[in-house]
Amino acid sequence: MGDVRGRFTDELAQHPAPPLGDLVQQSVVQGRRLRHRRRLAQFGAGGSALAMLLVIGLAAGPLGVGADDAGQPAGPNLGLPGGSVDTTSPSPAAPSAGAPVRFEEGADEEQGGLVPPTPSTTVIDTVRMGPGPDGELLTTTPQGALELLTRLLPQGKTGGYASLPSRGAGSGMPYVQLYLDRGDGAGMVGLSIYRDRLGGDPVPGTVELTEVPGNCLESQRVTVHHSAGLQVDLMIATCLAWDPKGTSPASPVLSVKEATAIAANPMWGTKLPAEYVRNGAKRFPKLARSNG
Amino acid sequence: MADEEFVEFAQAAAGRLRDAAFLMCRDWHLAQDLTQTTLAKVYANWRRVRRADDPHAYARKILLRCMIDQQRRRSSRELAMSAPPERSEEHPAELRMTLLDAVATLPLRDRAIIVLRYWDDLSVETTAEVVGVSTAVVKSQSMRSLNRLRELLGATRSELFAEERH
Repeated sequence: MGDVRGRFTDELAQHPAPPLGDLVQQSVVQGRRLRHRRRLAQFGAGGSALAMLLVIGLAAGPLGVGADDAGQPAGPNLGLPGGSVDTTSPSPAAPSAGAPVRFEEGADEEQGGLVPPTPSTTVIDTVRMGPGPDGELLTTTPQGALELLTRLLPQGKTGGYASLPSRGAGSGMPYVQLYLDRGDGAGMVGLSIYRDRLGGDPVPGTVELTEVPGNCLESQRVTVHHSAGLQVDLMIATCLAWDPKGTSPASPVLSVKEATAIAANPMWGTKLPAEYVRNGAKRFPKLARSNG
Repeated sequence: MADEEFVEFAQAAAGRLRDAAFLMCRDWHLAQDLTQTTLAKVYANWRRVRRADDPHAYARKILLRCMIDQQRRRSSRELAMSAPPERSEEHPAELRMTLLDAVATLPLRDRAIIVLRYWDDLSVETTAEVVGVSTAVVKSQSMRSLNRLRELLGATRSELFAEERH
């Protein structure tokens, strides 16, 4: 292999490359246009759905159901036995058979053949955000995030704890995932905390639902916008893990309403109460590497 | 902040991506365009890419996608040669086929496998994921392509790939 590489290097040296120039800056400009066009397309596709939601909302009453509105305490005991998570909400979408991030010829150019073909993001709700945590705070770790997440989840057995090493994500912005079994078989849930102001700064409490039918790792993604541009994503998977050879289908284990309540918890942030970070470190001393 | 992260990633990745593109198309201007388009798409998907295990492999996947699209659009101007040029016995140094010439005779998918495996040093598994084929295909096509390159480059260069024979 080394010799082939050496030949490539030698022959590249015989074909001097022109300067990169402002290629990176131009790619940002071009990328912004792509993103803008996609958002416009999504808005067009999602507009009718949003209008339908608004009509339903007007007929059925206020849509805003945050942690507080749902009668759930803002503290970390939402998922403890006897917690008040509403399990009567409609079931999430049916499982998707698609595997995530597959390279396929003929896929939509705009998506680079990588992002599922028809993701759609719609604002589905606005929740009232409670005050952030008090007391000693520490930088959010994957273990701390899992500690809080497991406390917020509905009752059930959890396992398969994993995190994705954050590349490019800032300090205190982990991605974690776990399995939850509420008695009907295990399903996978992922959670990420990050800050991305490219799409503007939506009003804190804005809840978006992204349907990603081609990606079983996040068939549905609930995004709750917190203050200061922070976003908490809760991914509802329809498979247990991703493997290049295939995935194991699984039923979604959270409803959108439950996911919203979890992601809207004001505890989430780039810093967590020290108790969660410390307990998480003890409870999850070693985390698997997420392949998602 | 995400912009800064992307720019940092792009600055680190651009040169290498463009080299890989050039090895596959042998045209710096086209390689530059493909790299810019690739990075633009990475930017548009940055929220997702930043969470990927290997954003660089992800970018290569987009690059390959762009190359396929470009090839499809400009099929009449395909850069790869359909047949290798004849080698001269009188001026072997000047006219002998280069590795780039030989690689250009391969179908795009096989070109990509060779470049990803032996230029980018990607594992069989990662190459399979980037190209969208099984690891078995990557292994078999690698061997087949190397044999083809040996044939094209002549017996005197076969030692270049000797280590790939096993």
